[in-house]
Amino acid sequence: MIKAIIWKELLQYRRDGRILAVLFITLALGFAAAFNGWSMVESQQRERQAAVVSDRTTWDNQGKKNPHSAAHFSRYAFQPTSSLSVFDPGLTGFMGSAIWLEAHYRDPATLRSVEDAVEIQRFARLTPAWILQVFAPLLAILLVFAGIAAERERGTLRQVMSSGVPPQHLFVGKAIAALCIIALLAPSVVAAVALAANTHDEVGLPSVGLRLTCIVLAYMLYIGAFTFAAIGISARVAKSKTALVVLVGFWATSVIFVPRFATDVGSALSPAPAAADFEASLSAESSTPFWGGSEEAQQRRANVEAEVLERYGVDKIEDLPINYDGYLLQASEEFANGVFDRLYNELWGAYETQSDIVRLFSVVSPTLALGNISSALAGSDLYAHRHFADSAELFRRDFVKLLNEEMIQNGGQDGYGYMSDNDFWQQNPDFSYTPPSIGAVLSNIWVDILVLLGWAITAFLIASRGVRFSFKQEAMA
Amino acid sequence: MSLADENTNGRMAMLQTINLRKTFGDVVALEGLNISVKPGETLCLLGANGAGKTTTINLFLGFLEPTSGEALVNGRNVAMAQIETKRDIAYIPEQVALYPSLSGLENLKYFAALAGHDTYSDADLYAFVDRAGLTKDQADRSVAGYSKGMRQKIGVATALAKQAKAFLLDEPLSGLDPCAANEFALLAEELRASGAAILMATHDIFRATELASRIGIMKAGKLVEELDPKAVHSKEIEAIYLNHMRDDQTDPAKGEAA
Repeated sequence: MIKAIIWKELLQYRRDGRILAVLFITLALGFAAAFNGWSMVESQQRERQAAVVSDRTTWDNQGKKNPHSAAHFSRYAFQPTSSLSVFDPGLTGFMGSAIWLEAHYRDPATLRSVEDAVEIQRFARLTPAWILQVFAPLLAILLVFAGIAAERERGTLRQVMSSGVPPQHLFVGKAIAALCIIALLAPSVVAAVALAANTHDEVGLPSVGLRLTCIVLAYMLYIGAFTFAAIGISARVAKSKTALVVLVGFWATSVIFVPRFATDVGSALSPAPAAADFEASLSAESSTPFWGGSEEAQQRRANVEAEVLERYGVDKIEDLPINYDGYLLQASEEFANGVFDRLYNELWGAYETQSDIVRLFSVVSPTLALGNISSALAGSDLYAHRHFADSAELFRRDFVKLLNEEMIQNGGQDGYGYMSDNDFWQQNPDFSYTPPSIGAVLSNIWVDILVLLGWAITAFLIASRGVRFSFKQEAMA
Repeated sequence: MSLADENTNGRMAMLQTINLRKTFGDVVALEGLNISVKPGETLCLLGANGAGKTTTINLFLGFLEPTSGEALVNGRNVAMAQIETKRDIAYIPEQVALYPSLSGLENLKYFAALAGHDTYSDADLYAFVDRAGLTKDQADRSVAGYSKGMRQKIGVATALAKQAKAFLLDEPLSGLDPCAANEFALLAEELRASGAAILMATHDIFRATELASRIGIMKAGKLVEELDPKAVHSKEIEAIYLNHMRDDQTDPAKGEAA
């Protein structure tokens, strides 16, 4: 019986030119998005590889230089672009992909590709994830908005009922048929995955297969939710045109407007400092209180001096067996690190509060929940960026300490006159980054998973009860 | 003795109601209805709009639940076995609703499959269509261009494919041109003669006297008269019917019914 319903629905879809047109356009957009995503990721990965090599070569061959000067000459940490960014680039391009690792200062990430993009590209980026998040629900609505309402309008629902078809069978048959059509968008996703596998992801996301499986399941829940909801609405309203208006209104609200609105509300309620202000704060709060001429700064430096003289049991700096300038530099680093931790925690806190506010809106927009899940699993969300930035910062601290130690231990009384050479630079480690495990990622998005699951279950119940309701209504007619 | 006569004699009723009552709020749609239709019988229910004819059919289809009493199909209570009883029933409404983007044959195939007959070959389906009076070419055309009569024939072909034992015909002749109505009447008679039990709700007293084994006159949810067209002259049936309808119009206390 369900097989017959699926067969009939698919036959009707095949003969509906509008459905075929929408399907073809969405599929074409999907392929274009997959290629576009691959092109972007491939380009970023190649640029990163070239930049990593160039950075290393430059560092290794900087010649004789004071280690602290080298720390200012510095190195870069380049964020690897995950291969799954082909499918969902998330915040890639928005948060910056390179961090300058210099002494005294924790630089924010730079190289934001969206800064070079026009405004519309910021709003709607052509990615496979975006196509599925926006167009797949619309396709689901177009497929099933008339599912029950039109059956009632033309009188076939009564004929179907008289054949002994239970409401659940009609619902399941129609849902499966619609999902089969939507599944025809899968080749564009497969193309994205195939292209992703063909990128030069040196770092590699852990558990890519499992991430991909979770992504597919999440999108199935999302598309299922819209399909079920559309069937439910179609079953509840008197006319198919009403169902279309209601559903397209719901689509526009939950897919287009609410995500934008939620982001604006998040930014308004939890504003992050402007980049220039933040950088000014970093500089002012980490440097001046230690190196400035204020009494407080002078006292801090005096404390360092007293502490090191006591530690080495000498009375004068000139008697120290170490390079005091290097020691003082390292002390300033440790002071500044506390400031960086505080300011960056405030900054990340503001971003995370924004995310939490946006997440609240996922109750009315499953697109928000799916967007979080999708970009998190693709390794392109805020958490992935923070994970990278924090790892880069840990490396910066160790690296600067290494350079300061070189000056402290080997600089003697040469002060800033101490020089290291290429032999030393070539022994210095590279920044090595391991993206977070899937367990860590899932623990960040469990609320989104629950919300999406809730949407799918609720929509299923709405559809299931709606079809039963329509059978009762028709029986009473 | 015809097959129908053999079936009728001594056989249990295929369609039966026992003290069937149905109310919608304060409105009584059916009151203590007792009818039975045996295999090879056609019972035509005559009555004005709201007399309870369609409500009776809806109760046999399980679309409505009786307030009290029972509607039985092949001895089974419809309220207790909705799916099973529908397998024995074919329903042909006044307007046979079909899917306009499908051909007649595809509609037939679909409705037959819904009724559990999903193994028919195209040849089998064309045979049903042919028996219902449609050509192969007509069956292959989209039903969007079908006349009402052609739709009725797909309805009959579906009933045949379903191998139903009982037919519920709700105003099947309404709106048909005389030629199409005649074709449908012949089909109905053929079905009866092959052993089907037919319950037909109609306003058409002429077709009722022509097709019916028995005629039931309904008024305000009650069966007020049951007549044998073989025993009573058609003129007399008409007079009795019109007399009941006149009473109905002058009865200030008449109930509204579905």
